[in-house]
Amino acid sequence: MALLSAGQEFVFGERRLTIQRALHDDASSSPSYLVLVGDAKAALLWQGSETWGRRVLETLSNAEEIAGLPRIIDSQIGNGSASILLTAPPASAEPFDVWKWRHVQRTSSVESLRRLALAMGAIHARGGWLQGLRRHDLFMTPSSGALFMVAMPRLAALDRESVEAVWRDIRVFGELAFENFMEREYPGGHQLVALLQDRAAMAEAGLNAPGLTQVLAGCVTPYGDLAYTNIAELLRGLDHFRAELVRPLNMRVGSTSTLGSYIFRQNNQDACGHVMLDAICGSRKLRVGFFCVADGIGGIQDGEHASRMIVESACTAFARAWSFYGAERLEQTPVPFARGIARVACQRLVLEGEFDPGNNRGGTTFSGLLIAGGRAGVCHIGDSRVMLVRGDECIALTEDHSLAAILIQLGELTAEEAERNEASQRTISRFMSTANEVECERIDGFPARLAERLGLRSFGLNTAGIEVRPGDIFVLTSDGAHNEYDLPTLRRLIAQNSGDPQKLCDAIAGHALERIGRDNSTVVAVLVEG
Amino acid sequence: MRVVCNETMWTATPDGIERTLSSDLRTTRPALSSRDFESLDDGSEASIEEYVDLDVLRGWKEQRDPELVAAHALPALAELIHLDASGRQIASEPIHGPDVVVGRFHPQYGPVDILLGSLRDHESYKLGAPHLYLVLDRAGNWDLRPLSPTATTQLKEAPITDNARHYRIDHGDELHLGVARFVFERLSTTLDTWFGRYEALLQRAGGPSLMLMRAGGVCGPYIGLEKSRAYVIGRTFPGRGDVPGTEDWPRFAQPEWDLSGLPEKERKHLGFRHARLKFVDESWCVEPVCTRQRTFVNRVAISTITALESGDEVGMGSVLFHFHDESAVVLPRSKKIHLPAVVDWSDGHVSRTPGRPAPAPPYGDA
Repeated sequence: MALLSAGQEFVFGERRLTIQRALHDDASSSPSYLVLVGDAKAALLWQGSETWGRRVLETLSNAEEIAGLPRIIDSQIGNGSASILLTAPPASAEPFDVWKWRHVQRTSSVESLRRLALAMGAIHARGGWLQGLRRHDLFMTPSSGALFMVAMPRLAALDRESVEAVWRDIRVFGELAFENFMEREYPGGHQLVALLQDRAAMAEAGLNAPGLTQVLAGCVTPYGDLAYTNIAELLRGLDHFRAELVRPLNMRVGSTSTLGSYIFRQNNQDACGHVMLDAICGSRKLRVGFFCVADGIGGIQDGEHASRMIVESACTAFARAWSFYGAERLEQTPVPFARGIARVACQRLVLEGEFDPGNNRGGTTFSGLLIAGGRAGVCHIGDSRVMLVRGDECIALTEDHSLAAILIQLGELTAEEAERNEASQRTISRFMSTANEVECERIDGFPARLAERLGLRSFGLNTAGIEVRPGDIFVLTSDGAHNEYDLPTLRRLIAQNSGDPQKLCDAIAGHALERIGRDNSTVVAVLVEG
Repeated sequence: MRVVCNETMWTATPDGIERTLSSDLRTTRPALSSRDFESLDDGSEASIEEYVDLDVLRGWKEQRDPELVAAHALPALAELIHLDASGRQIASEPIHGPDVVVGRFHPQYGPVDILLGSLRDHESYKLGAPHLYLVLDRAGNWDLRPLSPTATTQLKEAPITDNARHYRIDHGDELHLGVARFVFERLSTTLDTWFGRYEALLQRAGGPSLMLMRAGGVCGPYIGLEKSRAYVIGRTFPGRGDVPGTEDWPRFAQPEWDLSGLPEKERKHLGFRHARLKFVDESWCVEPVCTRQRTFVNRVAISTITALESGDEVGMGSVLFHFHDESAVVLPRSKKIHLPAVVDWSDGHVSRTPGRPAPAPPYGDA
């Protein structure tokens, strides 16, 4: 097959392709090119023998869901040769560069090796193997270190999954991990095997990260007990490696609940609570916590009972979720768990309403925050609030369920008018009561506009939740607290009490009392430390 | 693109109405693509139960009978299609009976047949409980009557206000209930087919039975009744001491008919032990058990044990049941509609809207 050179035009069906760059060494019988379709869109053009082409079609068809693998756009196969047009990696990706790779952040590099291993696993699962993945078959994005396969010149059918075949495909993972972590050249298989057998030499070389040595030993040679015999084992190794790198976030929590001014309030109908648990999963330490505030409504005794009951049953439900599902599952989908906790807690309240004749009235608002490892989710009903303070920004994680919000939606009030319209501000449109359960869909997670605020995609926001960063402060308040401050005041209070969540809670509640203290005020503050 | 059905498609025959509706005349509208779902993800879209088994979090197990969410046993006669502002379909509410009340549930005004479930807070706020009465008459025409004295209704963008009047509604007509936008669509099922299926369904039990209704018609699940027994209808609840704080609760048996498996919006107002059915003095009676949730017979709230006749509608919270005795198949009777009272807060007492005749006694002339 005649090789094409940069700038040359190539006719592919009805498309005119311009060759931008060749992605193979000159000896290759299956050349790959980065091409432009028409004038604008980048794509990959692979050429090779007919058998190879059919194998590519078989391996990559319906591979849409696998990150890091190109997708087939079009193909021409016959007369002993094949031309295949495939999607190109994102525009920010460029040919693999070892110097840039060495500077990719360690956690990102392990993550992108994991993604690449998943792609490789998909190829193996479809009965193909690459007969060795070379660095120049890869593109990477320098910022995130994401890796993409852009050529598979030796793709063939894997008749029998032998350890040697697997090793030829995965040894590049050991090389890449070594280069990124040690920031120096891979010494070659023989030297590395010798190094891994000599503890003193390893210590001298600084090769002591437990996760890394395991991956290196698994990838370096097909022989011995430690060699990975399939992609699943490689993925497990990379998972351990990733777990070693993650340091658990530490959470410090403070809480205050006060009566308010004696002129207006005779008892405290607010309640708040939190549970924090440390879980050791593998070598990964995950801290999980559930924090909530509830503001009781409906009569002096009833509101107090309802809010206390909902906090107790929510904390119990959280402990059940943690003990059954484990911290890792909580971290994967914190929002459904938080909302599920609210859902069963409100059912508990209704049971109380039906079966305990002494306590069958009253209702409560409920706002909960679930932090698991590095992710957070909320659940929310009523007009209590969860606020995230990140740097100078105060970001509301919940939207009040009030009559004012409804009237604004209907266009009957503007946001400014609603500020002054106290009756509609104080009327809540959703709450948990002892009479009726709240349906799952009426228990809110994050509001959609939060995604825009945090610069995230809204898709998945209400499953995987938001990322928790060191320095974040989460503030949960009942209306008695947040109706008495404005954002500048909150910023000032946070600045004066940074580093001590209990002091911050006391300051916010104290500020409400200084103003008027018309309502019970409750504050829970969670400070996340790296 | 919308195609509005031509009225001449509906032709009268001596023994009823033949309704043929070719499928190409069905209203069409742009379908949602996956890209749209991303923009629609506002927190209510993600399902909790896909990720979390709520029984684990509860600490006790709900018995959820899959039959309770099975497909409706009767064919739908029409549909109300909920549209967003740009004309895209949000949800469809099939109408499985010829005589239905549409709206939201409020305990004071009794159950409605079509519980509009896809509305957002501000839309529900402008929806009446009940809002609308829809009837398919023998001549094959759908009529609607606005029921709520305060909530607004627009038919083909013209406000309809007279609560005593019936307005004709046709295939493809646009309907605004409060601020929510709907399109009314007729389906190809004929009333005769519907009645045939309905009768067959009632006879399935082969004896006295209480049959679940949904969207205006008996939908399939039922409980057969034996005279020597009493039946509590309700939902699964934890036994005494199963969860913390329940040690001094009374000890009750689980309900004979467990409706925990109903969709959440339907079971929301159903008590855990809601009502009891028993045979007393030669007739089947319903007795409210739960003091927190209301029980209705023919949509009138009852407070004490009440005798039932074949064909009566029993309401428990927002769930409707058809009571069927073996004696005869009673076709659904047309409802006597009571307009909700307008509360005049300024006078401090309840009064009917002026200018409207006093309400007739409940279900007197059905």
